Amino acid sequence: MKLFALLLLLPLHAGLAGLTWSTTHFSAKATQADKEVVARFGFKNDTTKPLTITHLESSCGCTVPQLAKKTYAPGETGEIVAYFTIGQRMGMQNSTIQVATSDAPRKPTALRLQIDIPDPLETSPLLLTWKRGGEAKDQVFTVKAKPGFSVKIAEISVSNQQFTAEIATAKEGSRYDIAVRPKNTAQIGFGLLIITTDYPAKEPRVIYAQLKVE
Amino acid sequence: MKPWTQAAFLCGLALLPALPTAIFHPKKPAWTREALAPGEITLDTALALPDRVWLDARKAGDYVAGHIPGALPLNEDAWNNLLPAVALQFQPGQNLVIYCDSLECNTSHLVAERLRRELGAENVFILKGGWLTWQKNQP
Amino acid sequence: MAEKSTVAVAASSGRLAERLVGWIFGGLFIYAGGLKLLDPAQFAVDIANYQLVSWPFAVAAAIYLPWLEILAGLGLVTGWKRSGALRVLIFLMVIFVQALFTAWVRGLNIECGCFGKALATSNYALLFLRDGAILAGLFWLLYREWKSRLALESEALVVP
Repeated sequence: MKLFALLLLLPLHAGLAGLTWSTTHFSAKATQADKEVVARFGFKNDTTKPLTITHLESSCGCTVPQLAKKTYAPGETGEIVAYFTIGQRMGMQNSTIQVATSDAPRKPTALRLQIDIPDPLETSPLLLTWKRGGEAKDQVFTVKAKPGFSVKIAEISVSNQQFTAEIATAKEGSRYDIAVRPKNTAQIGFGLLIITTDYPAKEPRVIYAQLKVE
Repeated sequence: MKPWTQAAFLCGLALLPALPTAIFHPKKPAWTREALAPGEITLDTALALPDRVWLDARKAGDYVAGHIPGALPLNEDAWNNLLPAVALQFQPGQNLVIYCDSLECNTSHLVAERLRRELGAENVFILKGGWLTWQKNQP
Repeated sequence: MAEKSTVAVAASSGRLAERLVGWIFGGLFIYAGGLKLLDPAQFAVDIANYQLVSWPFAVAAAIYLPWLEILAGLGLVTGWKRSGALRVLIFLMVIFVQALFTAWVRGLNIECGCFGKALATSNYALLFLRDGAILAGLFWLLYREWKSRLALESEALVVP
């Protein structure tokens, strides 16, 4: 029974880097209109010796960590400032910054960044097909802006002139229904529906859908 | 049997079914981590693919400094600018192989997922070992 | 006379509760172990994500631990090697909670892996709550065992 109690108390904690962190997890929401997100990870040297940061590495080129100086005296505080570039990313972005200190250079602490860049649009379907020799009737491709976003269509085109597309109904900035059909279904063909939007302003997003006569 | 003896007995007994599981289980893990993750292919497999297009998921600077001949750049920093070139040459059934820096590269997987989602491409693969593997295998 | 029967009823309802809890928790571990056995490769990855052991060790654990869970769970349910089973499960849970704690402190993003991919969550509060409840239940069973052993010992002393 005594051995049992002893085992219960035995901590398995891997050697943690000597710094105490105010947080090791940062999450935020952003949009493609933002340029970057700045995350701050504060720390304090709670040990009795000075600690030097020996390793500072980010898992992704999109996240750049910065440090004012490398060595911290006992009791001193500091912070790692991480700059996350949005670029034209979308969805849940996860990146990690590994920080190791002189007292445990092989056991880095992982600082996590989680940036959610929600997709401003809902589009469907991804593929429109017609049967060869069948009816060349209209199919609808829908582009919807999610609440809080206003996205307009700047231009519609097709990569293969066997198909034709035009806006059937439009609620400017929020919903577009595009009617697509092949001019004829005599031969098998493949093309792309290409929809250029106006968001983000500098390098707008292009939406694609596959069109097939098979 | 005293309680802890029983416990030890159970621990030992569990080894019996564990052994055949280690040998015969269809979903048993590989003993080394070199195994391929889902979507990854080796360089040999990639070279044997017909109708193959290379996609470079690294930073623009790296691409300019050197890339697999014929590769198109496609990364998330300039996704909106780069996707059109890939989309306009796309044909159904095309095999798209994405590579980035080397072994520990999550970027390729993100690009692959986004490509599948936005273009509806089905045959999207990731080169295991990335640019490093390509360089190592050059004569 | 009435006194004796209420004590007897209390004792037997305590025993019933004990057996029920044993079935529930035993069944829980059998279920959890079974789920992990369906995909040992994924379980090995989940173990590796805690960044506490080497990959080959994670593979060995992924193959071995589910069987231990199932056997110990069976022990709770059937009563065979029950005391040992209980200690095995408590030991497993304690180790697991400590691993969870180190992962939380280091800010790791883990998906539990306890119930296979089915109920994966990286929500630490939820995980600690769940495991705390399981440990509490197991400790209660241990307490009941200790009590009944005391009762047996004291009965043995009262030899008419």
